[in-house]
Amino acid sequence: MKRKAFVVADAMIGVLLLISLLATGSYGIDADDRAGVETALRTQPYLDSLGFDGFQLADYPVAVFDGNKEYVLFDEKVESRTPILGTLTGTAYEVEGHYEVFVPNKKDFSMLLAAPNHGEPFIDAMYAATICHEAFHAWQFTYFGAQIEQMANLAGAENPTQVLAELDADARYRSWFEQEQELLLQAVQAKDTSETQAILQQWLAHTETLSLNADAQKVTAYYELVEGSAQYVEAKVFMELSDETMYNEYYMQSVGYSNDAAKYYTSGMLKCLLLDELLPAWQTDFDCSLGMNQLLKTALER
Amino acid sequence: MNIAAYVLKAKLRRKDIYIVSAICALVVLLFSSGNSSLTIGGKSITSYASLLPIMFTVVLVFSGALTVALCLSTIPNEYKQGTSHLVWVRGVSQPQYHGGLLLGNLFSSIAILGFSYLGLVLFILAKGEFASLAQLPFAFLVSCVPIAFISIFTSVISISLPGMVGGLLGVLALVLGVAHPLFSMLANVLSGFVAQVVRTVLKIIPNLYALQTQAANVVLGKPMDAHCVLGGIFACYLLTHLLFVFKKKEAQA
Repeated sequence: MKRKAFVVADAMIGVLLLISLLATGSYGIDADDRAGVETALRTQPYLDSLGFDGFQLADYPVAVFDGNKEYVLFDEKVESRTPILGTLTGTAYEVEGHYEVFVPNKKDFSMLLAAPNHGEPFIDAMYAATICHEAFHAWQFTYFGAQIEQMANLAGAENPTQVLAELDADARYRSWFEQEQELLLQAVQAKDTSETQAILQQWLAHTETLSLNADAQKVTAYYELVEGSAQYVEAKVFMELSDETMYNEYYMQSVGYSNDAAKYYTSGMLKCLLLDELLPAWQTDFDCSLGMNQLLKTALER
Repeated sequence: MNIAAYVLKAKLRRKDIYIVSAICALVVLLFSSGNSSLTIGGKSITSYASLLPIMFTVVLVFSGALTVALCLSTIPNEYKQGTSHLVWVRGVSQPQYHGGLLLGNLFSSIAILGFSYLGLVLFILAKGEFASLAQLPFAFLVSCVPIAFISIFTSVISISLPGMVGGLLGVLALVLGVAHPLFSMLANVLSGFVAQVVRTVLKIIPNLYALQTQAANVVLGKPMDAHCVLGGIFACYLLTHLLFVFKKKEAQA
């Protein structure tokens, strides 16, 4: 009798716990992830003001991977599906003939960024800015895939990773690149346009002091153009959603050398910021047919 | 209940738990004296609201490690010392006996947590956040959930597994539980078989870090995630049923 009462009480506790657990659970896309995507979508008026012709965030579905499922937000609807990439990544990827934006869920994004202590405002702004970064790639590849291919011709180059590794192993290149970064940063932080132009003349002279082989030229031009411009969009959106202190801490203090492609994100972004100074509305004609160096040299000659 | 009281008394006689609890309090206190102006993203990480959840995690790690050390040997020692025979002759069943010992371990672990909480009290006093003290007992109740999980887990596996293996598994459960978000993120980065294994293990081990964060939220006046706490309690509930699965061969019932 005593044993029976124990079994019944135990089962009741279990059932009650299970019901409470199910009742308090959240299902579908995490509210934070959805809010993050919606924050990004709300930056459209600001993106419009940047002037990239036809760049509309809402044109590209955003797929959020939470470890089990992928939630696709598009046209104010959310659909879940079996993950296509199945890994934490931020990228633009072609799905059934159109580009989609792939981002991690916000919790993992924060961990990947090692940002839990940066505070919510930082993570919110960075998440939305990253979605804009990847959506910009979707826009680039949707409209200018052919130009990118022609300009950088990565397919014709050696393995880009190998090319990058060879550049990183070259001490002379490293020193040259660090000097270039320093000049670009000085130009960005110059007090007026004439000072910017003067520093960029030094930069121009500096670019003449190094000649890269054809493959290295293609790979660096590709990353500066495709990733640098997307990083520029990301940084501008981040600045819009946060403040100058956080912007400077994250984007300007990271200028330097790293043994991977990340340095070209920064150098390309700095060149875009310089175009803002020298050639207002440069974004209107941006069609990925010219590399960042060519764009900057053209702007300097005007 | 007599068995549980006997275990609790025996554990509280050990000096090492007071030494480790004092070290824990000292570590927590070290953080309270920081005057650094270090900021990340414009936000000071030495602020009370930023530091408190970290302090709760420190308390969980210390009291969790002590819990593993204390709970690991309780049941095996009963058999080693032959005390179990004194119980069998009174007609007590094996799950009942192990349940009593487990309950004793659980009470001891909660007592250890209480000692470790002294560090938090000192931290809060040092920061001058006196209003938080009133919330601390409620936070303590939430903190009991992750500690109970570690205590029950270690006790149950100690019935069947050798001490060293049980200890390793107990520590592993603590590490996986405390670093749950990190391992979860790693599983999402990986793919294939390894990712599947990590995900499965993380489904078994509750997110102890999130549980302890809920305790910090109680003190900070932030909303508490009831689902997370209920998940921890449910995991403890399921674990206790392993008492009916794991049995000692030498016992009669």
